[in-house]
This record gives sequence, structure tokens and C-alpha cells, in this order.
Amino acid sequence: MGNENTPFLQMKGIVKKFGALTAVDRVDLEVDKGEVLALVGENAAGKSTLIKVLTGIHDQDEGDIFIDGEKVEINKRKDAQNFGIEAVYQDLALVNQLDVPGNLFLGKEPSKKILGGFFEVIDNKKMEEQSKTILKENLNMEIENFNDPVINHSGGQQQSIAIGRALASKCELVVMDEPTASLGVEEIEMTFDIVRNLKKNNVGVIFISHNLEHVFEVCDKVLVMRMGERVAYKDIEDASKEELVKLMVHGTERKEETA
Amino acid sequence: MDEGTQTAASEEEMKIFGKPWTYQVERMGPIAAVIIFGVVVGILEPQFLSTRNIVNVLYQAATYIILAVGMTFVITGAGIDISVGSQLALTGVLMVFTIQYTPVPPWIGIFVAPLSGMVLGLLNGLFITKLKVPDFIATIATMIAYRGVVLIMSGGQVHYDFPYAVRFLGQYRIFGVLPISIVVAFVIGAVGYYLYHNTFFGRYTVAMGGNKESAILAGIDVNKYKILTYVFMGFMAGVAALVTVGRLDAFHATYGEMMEIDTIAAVIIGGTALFGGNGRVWGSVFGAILMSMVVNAAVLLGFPYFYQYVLVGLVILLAVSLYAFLEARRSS
Repeated sequence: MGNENTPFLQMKGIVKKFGALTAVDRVDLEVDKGEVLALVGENAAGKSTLIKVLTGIHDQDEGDIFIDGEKVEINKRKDAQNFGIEAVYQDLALVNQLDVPGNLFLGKEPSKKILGGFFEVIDNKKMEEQSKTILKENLNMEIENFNDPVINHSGGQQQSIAIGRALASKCELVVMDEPTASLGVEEIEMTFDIVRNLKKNNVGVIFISHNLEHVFEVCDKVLVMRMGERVAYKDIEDASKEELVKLMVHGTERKEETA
Repeated sequence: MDEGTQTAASEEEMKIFGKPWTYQVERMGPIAAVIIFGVVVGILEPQFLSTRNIVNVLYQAATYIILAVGMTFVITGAGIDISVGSQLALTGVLMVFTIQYTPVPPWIGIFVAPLSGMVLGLLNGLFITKLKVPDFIATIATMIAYRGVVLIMSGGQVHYDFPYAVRFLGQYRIFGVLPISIVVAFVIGAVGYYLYHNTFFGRYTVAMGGNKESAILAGIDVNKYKILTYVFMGFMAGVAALVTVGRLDAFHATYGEMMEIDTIAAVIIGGTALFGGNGRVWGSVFGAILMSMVVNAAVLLGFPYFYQYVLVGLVILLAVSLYAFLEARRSS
């Protein structure tokens, strides 16, 4: 592999233990910009733990993370964000009481100086303008009652807002944890559109899902985990649903993997 | 589309100025209550609406407004500060001692109150975030401890006859009519409103109180903002001490007793959610005014002193049940 072809993100030999339990065991993962990687596996396969290592919520016990081929330390959420890695959590992690712009920019609000540069305050106007742009251009949605608390919005809209949050900053890679799990049919279609749109904009996506049909719908590659280990990694075109199910349950191609 | 069903559902609600009526009642409730209560009592006893009496009501309310603005932030951050009354007394006695027993000029000595308040608030915040003591317990402990320090320092004696610097904020009247403490209280209300809606402090306090996990995931240092809310509260307790000591031109160790209850009541009447994430700064201001009006009206209407407690208690119950009703309407 030449330097030019180094994928945006590489995780190599990641190990994460919780006491005696090895939640993630020598897992490699790589994903490039504009690529949608499915991360599949049964419950407790280690998907979420792996992602939490990536997003800085957990520290790995072993292994390294590389961004653009360079080894990096991700110890905090902020570190991951600085590398352009954003996450959309299953429970969306919105603050119900804040309005749409408040949630889109939570933790990274645009600021302005007042009183001769002495105080730094939130630039609410700029934030609202940018929010409208993000919603319209990236998510192709118009939200009524923009300034209502997000709890007043529908589940699908909340999902979009949560994804929009990732886009509010210049991000290179979005991790989506079960984005389609609690949505209706139309809202799932909406989510697929968003994923395709991200891909088009050269943003990488890690798509965690239980639902293999959804995986085949939008993903380019698939990484299967079983009991903390990576049991397969292949192009989606080379995979069949039956095969993936077998891998998830029995881990048949396990010998392929070496750390 | 789901947007269509969304609109259809909300169109069933009656709207006022483009927002559901429940929203408007919640937002405008405190000020409406002040006006309605004022008119009703004014009809029963016209003296209630005399300029002199209105000024008097606001004058009495000033201390509570200042405390309530601070408490709005603490409660919005899903905390509670039971120690505000003791903080008021302790910052008061520290200021009094500085001015009476040190060569520090009074105009500088008065800053001891808000500054020491910030230190007391910082201690509260550290106990809560570092020692992991729940807010309620930590501030009950400091309520008792701070009060103890006040009693030790003052020896239970009344201190009085302070220089003009101390009396100024409590007693000075603009054009000889409008006490400056009222102006200060309203300025603090306006500043509090600005902080709530336009600063990182305000925004992150809401996020932390609304959904702590989400705030942490968004990279917000929730401990820092938790501490800041208590420091802010302490600062306000110091300002309130300044106004109180100045107004009465005296200090006694019992100052501020029971004030935590009145302050929290004012905040709750104002529409701030007790479990955090949803604060109403102007609501707290008008909540404090309403409390002051109720007490004042009880006196004017000839209610015996003890009955006033019952009356205030009923007002709190009424306000909270109204909010609970609106909340239930909204989530249905």
C-alpha cells in the first residue's frame, strides 16, 4: 500500500478489556472518505465498544489508530472531533429542551466577541443561518418551528437533526449507531438519502446495524464482528445475506483474520 | 409526510401569536399572574396600587429577585442551592467585618460580599462535583456550616451604623423615589436573561440540566459548568447581602434564614422546571415580585401574620399544579 492510497481511518489491532472480559479483541478496521462501511454483528459483538474507542469515550488497551496514515491519540471526544470524526448515537444524544440550531451546534457554537473583545458569546444569528443551510443543502429538509425545542419534532426529524449535528462541523467521517432502528419506513428512506448524500460529499460513514437489508441498501463494504473479534471484511458485492448471517452467528471465516 | 401529521396534530391546539396556548400561558404566566393579582387586590384595596405601595413591593422583592436569578441557573443545571440564605449572611458578615475592623476603605470593602460569595459558591460546586455529594445534600451541609461560621463571627450581636458605601445600594433612591436596589434587581434580571440565551455558560447549563449524557457526548465539561452555576449563585447571594444590609443599615446573624425556600418558590412560580433544562429568568423575576405582592396584600387586607404563610404556600401549590397541567397537555 502506497502512501497515496492510505485510507482516511485505520484502526489496527484494537483491544479493549473490561476486567476479565475482552470486549474487542485485536480488531482492524479501515474506512476511507466517501465510503460507507457496515459494521455488523450480534449484540455484545463489540461493535459499540470499538466505536467508543474510536470516538474517544473509551481508551483502547492495545492497538493504534491512524488518520491519513499518521498515528494519533484519541483520548477524548474532542480529540475525535478535531480529526473530523463525528458520531450519531442510537439515542441521538439531543437535548430536548434546546431548539434545532441549539442542538445542531451543541458543543461547537459559533461565537462572536462583544464589549471590545472582552467577552465571547454565542453568535445565535450566524448559528441559525448556518443551521438552515445544513438542513437544506445536506439533509434536504425544511423544518417548521425551527426555534421550538426538539422534543416537539417527529422521530425522523430528530434523527436528521442528530445527523445534521455531525455535519455542523467540518467532518470527514460519521459513525451512525443503529440509525434506522427506531424509525418508520419513510424515515428510513430519508436516512438512506442522507447517507448517500454524505457519500457524495466525500464523507466516510460507519454504519452500524442489525438489519442486513439496510446494510445492502447503502453500504460499500461490510465488517462482521463476533464475540469481540473481526470475522470478515469484504466488499458488499461479494457478500450474500446468508453468508453474513452465518458469519455473525458462527464466525466461520475466523481463520482469515490475523492481527 | 411526517411533517404533515406534525402540523395536523398541533393545529388542534388553540394558538396565540402563532404558538400553542399552553406555551404562551407558561411563558407569560408569571407576568399575567402579577397583573391579575394586582388588579384584583387593587379593587379590594385601592391603596395596593398606589405608587408608594408598588415601590414598596418592588423594594421588598429586590433581594429575592437577585437571588432568584442566580437560582434559576442552578436549577436549570439540574442542581439546587439550599445554602443561599446562609451565603447571604456569611458574605454579609465578611463585608461588615472587613469594613468595621480593617483599614480597607468602605467603597472597596463592599466588593468583599460578591467576591466571597463566589468563593462560597465555588466550595459548593467542588463538594458536588469532586466529592460527588448530591447537590441537595451538599448545600444543606453548607447551609448549616456557613450559618455556623456567621454565628461564630458575629457572636449573635447586631452590627449597625454603616458608612454610606454600604447603605448606598440598599437605600439610595433615584429622584428620591425609586430605590436603586430595584433598578439593580431588574438589571440583574436583564443580564441573567442575556447570559441564559447568548452565552456558553447559559447554553451549557441548559444542556447539562436537560440531558447530562448528551452534554458530555457533545464534549461539554459538565463539571465546570456545574461549578459555574454555583459560583454565579454565590455572587448573587453577595449582591443580595449588600442590598439587604444596606437597606436595614444593620447586620444580624439570622439574616437570610428561610430565604432559600422563598427563592426556590419564586423560581418555580416563574416556570423554571425543577428537574432542570428549562429555565425562565424573567419568570423568576416576576415570581419573586408575585411572592412579595402576596405578602404585602395579606398585610393590607388585614390577614394576621401567621396566615400569610398559608397564603404563600397556596400560591406555590397553585402555580406548580398549573405547570403540571400544562406539561400534561403538551405531552399528550
